[in-house]
Amino acid sequence: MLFEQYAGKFMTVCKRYANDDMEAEDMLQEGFVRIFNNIHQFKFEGSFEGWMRRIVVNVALKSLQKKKLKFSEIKDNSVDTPSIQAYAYNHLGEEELLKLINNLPDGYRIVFNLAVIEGYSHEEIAKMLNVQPSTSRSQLVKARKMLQSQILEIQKIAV
Amino acid sequence: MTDKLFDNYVRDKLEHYSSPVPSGLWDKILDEKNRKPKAFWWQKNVGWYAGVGIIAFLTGAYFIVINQKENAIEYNSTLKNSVSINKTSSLPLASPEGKKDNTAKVIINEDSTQQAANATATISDAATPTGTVLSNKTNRVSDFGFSKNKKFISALEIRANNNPVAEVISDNQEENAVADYFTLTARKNLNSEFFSLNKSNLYSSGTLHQPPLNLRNILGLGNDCPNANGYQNRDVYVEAYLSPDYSSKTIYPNGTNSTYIQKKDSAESMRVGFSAGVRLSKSIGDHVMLKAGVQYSQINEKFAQRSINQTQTTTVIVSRTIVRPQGDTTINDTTSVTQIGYKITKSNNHYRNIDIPVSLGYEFGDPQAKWKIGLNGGVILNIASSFQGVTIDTGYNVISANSKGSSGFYNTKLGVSLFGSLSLIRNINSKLDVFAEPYFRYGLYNTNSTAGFSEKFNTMGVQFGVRMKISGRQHL
Repeated sequence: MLFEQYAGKFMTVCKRYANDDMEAEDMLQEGFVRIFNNIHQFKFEGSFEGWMRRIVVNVALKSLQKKKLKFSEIKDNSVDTPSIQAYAYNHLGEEELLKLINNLPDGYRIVFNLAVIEGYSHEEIAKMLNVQPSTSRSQLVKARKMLQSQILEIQKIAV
Repeated sequence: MTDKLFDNYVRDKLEHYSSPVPSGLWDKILDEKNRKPKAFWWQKNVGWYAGVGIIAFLTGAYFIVINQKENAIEYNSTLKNSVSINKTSSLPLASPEGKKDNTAKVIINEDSTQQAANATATISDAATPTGTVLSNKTNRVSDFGFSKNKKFISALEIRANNNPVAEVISDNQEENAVADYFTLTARKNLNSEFFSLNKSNLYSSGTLHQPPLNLRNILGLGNDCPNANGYQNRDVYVEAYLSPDYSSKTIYPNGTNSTYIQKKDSAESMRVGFSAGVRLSKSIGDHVMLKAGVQYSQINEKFAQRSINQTQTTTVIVSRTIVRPQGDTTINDTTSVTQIGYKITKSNNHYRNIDIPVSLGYEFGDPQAKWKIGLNGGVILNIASSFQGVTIDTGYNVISANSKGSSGFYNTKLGVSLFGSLSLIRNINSKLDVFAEPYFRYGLYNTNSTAGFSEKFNTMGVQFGVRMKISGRQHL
C-alpha cells in the first residue's frame, strides 16, 4: 500500500521542514491528500517516488510560506568553524541529525533541505521561495556552518 | 571534511530515512480526502455555477421573447398595410385655413386581407394640451403609453396646421385591423397638407416617449412614461426567507506568533450554517425596491484539536483477601497507572448574529410578469453577536470561549457587511410571490481584536422565501 510504503520516508521530509512534530504530521496529511487527489496526473515520466516527494515538499513550503517566512541574517561572531573529523559523525544518528536541522532558523533550514537533500539549484530555490539566488547561496553557507558547529558541540560533549 | 562531503553525508543519512508515523494518520487522511474542501469550495463547483448561469440566461431570454412578442411592432404586416388618403373625397372640408369644424375620414386598407378600417378624425381648435384616443372596439380610453395588444399600424400622425390639439376617435369594425392609438403632433409650418402618415412612425409606437426599438421594454422600462392618471406603483411586501449558508473565515495574527495562528486555523473548519429573516419591501416606481428587515444568522464551525503528550492517571484498586485463623482480612492495594498519549478535543462552535439588512433592489422586466430577475445590493448592520464553543489559547490549550463568560470574544457588535444578491422571482398570484436569491456577504469588520488574533467572515448562500403583498395595487 502506498501509504505504508512511503509514509515513513515522507514523514522525515516533513520533519526536516516543520518546526515540530505536529506541524510535520499536518504537512504529511495534506501531502498524501494531494497525492491521492492528483495521482491521475502522474504521467509516468520519471520516478513515482520523486513525483510524490515533490508534492510533499511543495506542501511543506506552502505551509511554511503561510507563516511569512523571513530569511534573517544571524550574527555570527565565531571564527571559521574548525574542520570536523569524519569520525565525529559515527555516533550521530538520523534522529539527532534531524533535530540539529530542526534547530536551524527557518530560512537556513529550508534552503539547506532544498539544496543539499532535495538537490535543487540555487536558481530553482530562488524561484520557489521568491528570493534572490545570492540569498539562497548565503543562507546555505551559513546553514552548513551552523550545522557543523552544532555537530562539533555534540562531539565535545561526547568527549 | 569538505562541504561536498558533508552534504553527501547528510543526504545519505536522511534521504531515505524513515521516521515513525503517528498512528491514526491514515484515518485522518481518509477523512480529509472524503471531506469537501473547506475553503473556496464554490470555485470547484463549476457545474453548480453553470446551472445557475443557464437558468439566469434562460430566464433572461424568456423575458426578452415575451416582451418582444407583446410589444414589438410586426414590421412585415405593417409594411403590407398601405394607407391611402383621398383628400378630395374623404377630407372634403379640410383647408389650409383650418376651418373650425373639420371632419376627415381616413381610410386604411390592408392589402393582405382587403379589409378596411375607417377612422374618423375630428379636429378641433380646443387649446387643451393633451389628446385622447377612443377605440370602439376595446371601449376604453388609453393613454399615450406603450400599447401591447394590437397587431399593426402603430402610429398615425395627424398633422394639423393651426390645430395643436386633436381628438381622434377610432371607429374600427374589424379585429386586428386598426391601431388603437395615434400620435398627435401639431406642426404650424405645413400649409398644403393637413393629414399625412409618417411611414417611419409605423415602426415605432409612442414616439413622444420611447425610442424606435423596444429596448426600453426589454429592459422593463416601457411603462415609465407618466400615466394619464398620475399613477405610481406603491406596493409594499413582506418577505420571509431561509437560507443555507457557507462562511469562510480568515484569521489575522494580532500580536501572536504565526505558529499559533496556523494551529488555530488547522483546528477549526467551517461547516454549513443558516440564516433566516423577515423584511419589508417597498416599491419605488415599477422596478426599484427598498428593503429592510431583521435576520438571524448562525455560522457553524467544527473544532478538532489533537494534543500530544497528554498524561492520564488511572487509579487501580486491587482487593485481596488474606485468610488467617483469626479471620479473613481484606486488603485494598491502590496503584496508579499513568498513560501518556494524545487527546483529541472536538466541539461544534456557533457564531450567532442578529442583523438588520438594508438593501436596494432593481427588478427587470414587466412588473406583472410571471418570472422576474432582480439585482440587490446593500449593507447588513449587526446589532448583536455571540459565540459558543471552544478555541485554543496562545499556550495551545483548549479553552471554552463562550462570549457570555469571556468578554471580548465575538460578543461585540460586528459592524457592517456589504451585501449583494441576484433574485429570481416567480409570481404565484396577485398577492404572493416566491423567490430564490443567491447572495454574498462580505464582512468589513475584524473580530476578536482583544484575543490575540482577529477574524473576518465572508458568507454566501441562497435565500429561499415567499413575498406577500400587504398593500398597493392589484396586478390585473
